[in-house]
Amino acid sequence: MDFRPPDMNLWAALPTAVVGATALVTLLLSVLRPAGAARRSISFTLFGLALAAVGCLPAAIFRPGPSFQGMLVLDPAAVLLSLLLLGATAVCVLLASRYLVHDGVDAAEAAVLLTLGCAGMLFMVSAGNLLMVFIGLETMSVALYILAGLAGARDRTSHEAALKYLLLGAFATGFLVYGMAFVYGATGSLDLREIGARIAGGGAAPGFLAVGLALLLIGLGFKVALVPFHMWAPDVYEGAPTTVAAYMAVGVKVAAFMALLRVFNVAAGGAAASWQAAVAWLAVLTMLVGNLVALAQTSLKRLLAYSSIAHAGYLAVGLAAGGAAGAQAVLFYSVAYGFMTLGAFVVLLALERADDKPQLDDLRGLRRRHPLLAAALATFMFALAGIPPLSGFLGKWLLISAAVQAGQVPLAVAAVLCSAIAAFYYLRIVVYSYMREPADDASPVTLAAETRQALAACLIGTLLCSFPFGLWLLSAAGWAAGALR
Amino acid sequence: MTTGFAICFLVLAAVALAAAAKMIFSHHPVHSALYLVLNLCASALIYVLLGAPFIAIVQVAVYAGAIMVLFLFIIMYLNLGLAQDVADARSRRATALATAGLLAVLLLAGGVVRWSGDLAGRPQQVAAGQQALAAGQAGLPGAPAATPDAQAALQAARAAAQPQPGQAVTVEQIGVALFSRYALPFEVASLLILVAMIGALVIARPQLQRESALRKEVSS
Repeated sequence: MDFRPPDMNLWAALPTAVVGATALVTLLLSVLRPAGAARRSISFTLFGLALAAVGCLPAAIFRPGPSFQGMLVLDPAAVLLSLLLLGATAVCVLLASRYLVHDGVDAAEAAVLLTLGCAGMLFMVSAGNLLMVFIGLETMSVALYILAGLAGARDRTSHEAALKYLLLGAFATGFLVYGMAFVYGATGSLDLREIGARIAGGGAAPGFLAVGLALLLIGLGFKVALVPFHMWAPDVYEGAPTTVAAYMAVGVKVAAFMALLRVFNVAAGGAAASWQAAVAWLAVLTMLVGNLVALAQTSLKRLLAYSSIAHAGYLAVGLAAGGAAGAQAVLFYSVAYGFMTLGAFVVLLALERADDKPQLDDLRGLRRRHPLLAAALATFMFALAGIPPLSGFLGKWLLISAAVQAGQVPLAVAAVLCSAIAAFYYLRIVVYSYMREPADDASPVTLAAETRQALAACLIGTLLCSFPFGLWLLSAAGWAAGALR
Repeated sequence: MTTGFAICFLVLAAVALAAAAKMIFSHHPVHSALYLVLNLCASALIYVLLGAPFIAIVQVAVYAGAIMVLFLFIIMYLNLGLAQDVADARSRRATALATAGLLAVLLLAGGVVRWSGDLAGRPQQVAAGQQALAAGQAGLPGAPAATPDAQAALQAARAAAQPQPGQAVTVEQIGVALFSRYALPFEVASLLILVAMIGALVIARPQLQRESALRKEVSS
C-alpha cells in the first residue's frame, strides 16, 4: 500500500486555522482562569478574528491553488467573503458582549460558539469538495442551534426557536447528503472541479445528476430560506436572541450562497439546463412571498426576517443568471447585503428593551430621541430598498443586468417589480422614525459603546459598498468571479 | 451474481425502509429504538454487500451497539410510557416480531457474505490452487500437462485474493485514505464534534448549576 503524504498547503488553511485556534484558546483560558474571563475572552476573540483577516492576505497575494487534495480552494472569491464573514463575526461578538451577557449568557461561551460557527462558514466559502461543504455547514449549523437557544432562561421562545431550527435543519441536512450521494453516483466524484470535468466530458448520468442537484438545492435552499423552504425563518429569527438572528441572517446566508455558487454555477455549470429554470422559479417565488408578507409585519424583527428571505430571492436571481456576470453579482450583493442587514439588526438591538420585542410603533419620533440612530437606520433602509447611490442599488443593478445578459428578461422584470414592493415597507420605517410624533411615554434611546462601534462598522461597510467606493468592490468582485474555477 | 446482488440489495433496502417507517410510527419509544437497531443492521449489511465490511462492523458496533444501548438506557431511565404498554399483548407481539426480524436479518447476513463469495471464497481458492500446484509438482510422469494448469489456477487465485476496485476494502486502505486524501475533512470533523460537545455542556449547564446549588443548600 503506497502512502502519499497529503498536500498540506498551509497558506490556504491559515485563516480557518487561526479562527479555530482562537476559539480553542478562548475556551481554555476561560476555563483555566475564570476571573475576568468575560472581558478577556471578548478582546482575545476580536484579536484572533483580526489576525485571521490578516491571514487571508498571503492567500490573496500568492493565490494558492486547490489545496489539501482539492478540499480547500482559497481563491479571491473565498478571500472576499471570508473577510466579510470575519467582520460580521467580530461585530456579532462585540454585540454579544453587551446584549447576550445581559440575557445571562456567559460571554466566553457566546464568543467561542460564534467563532467556531465562523470557522464552519469559512470552510464553506472555500470548499472545493462536497465533503467540505457538508462538514463546514454542519459546524456552522450546530453552533447556531445552540446560539439560538442561549436566551432560553429568560425567554421561552428562544428554546422554541432552537428546537425548530434543529429539527428542520437536521431534516434539510438529510436532503443535502442524499443529494451529494446522487451527485457522486452520477459523476463518480465529490470533488467539485472533477464533477465539473465529468459533466463537461459528458460522463455524468443526467437523470441521477438532476435528482442530486435538486436535493442539494433543497438542502442549501433551506439554509438560505428560499421560499418553499423558508417556513422556519421568521419564527427562528424572532425567537433567537437578536445578536444571533443577525448572525444567521448574514453569516449563514452568505456562506450557503457561496456554496450554492460553487456547486451550481461552477461545478454544474455545464448542466445548467437541468437546474436553471428551477432556481429562477424559486427566486421569483422567494422575492414575491418575502416582500408581500413583509408588508404586513409590525414586529420589526419579523419584518427583517421576511426582508432577509426576500434578499435570498435577489441573490438567487444572480445564481439563475449564471456565468461570470451572475457570479460577480452574487459576490457583490453578498457583501453589500451583509453590511446593510447587520446594520439594521444593530439598530434593532439598540431599540430593544428587556420585556418586549420592538414594534413599528417604537420607531415613532426616533429622529428626536436619537438623531444619529435615526440617520443610520434611514441609511440602512435606503440601502436595503435599493435607492441610488447606495450599495443595494449597485447590487440590484448588477443582478438585474446579469439576468438580462443571460436572456432571462422575465426574471429581471420580476426582480424590478419586487424591489418596488419592497421600497414600501423600508420607506415606511423611515417615515415612522422621521415624520411621526413620539409617544408620550417614549424613553430616550442611549447607545452603549459596543453598539456605537458596531453601528460605525456597519455604516462604514455600507458606504464602502456604495457609489463611488463601491465601484472598487465591484471590480474586485468581477475579478474574483473570473477566477472561480 | 448481479441478479443475486440486486435481490439482496432490494431485500435489505426494503427491510431498512420498513424498519425506519415502523420506527417513526410506533407509539412505544422502546419499539422505536428497536426498529432503529433493525434499520442500522440492515444498512450495515448493505455496506457488506458494497464491499465495505469494516464500515459495516463499525456501524453495528458503534451505532447498533453502543449508541442504541445509550438510547434504550435513557428511555428506560425516563420511564417513557412503559407502564401501560408492556402489559399490552399487542406491543409484546411487536417486540417479538422485531426481535425475530433482527435475527432473520443477521442470519441472512451470513448467507450474503458466503454467497457473494468475496470474503469466504478467496482463501479457499488460494488453498485449492496451492493443492493443485503441489499435486502437479509432485507430478507423476503421467500428468505433466496438469502443471501449467495448476500454476495458472494459483495465479488466478492469488489475483483474486488482492483487493480490487469495487471489492472489499481493507482497514488499511481506509486508514491511508483518511490520513492522505481526506486529511482535512477528518481534522475538521473533530472541530464539528467539539462544537457539539460544547453545545451539550452549554445546554446542560443551567440544570447542573441548579443541582449544585441544591446540594449546597442540603449540606448546609
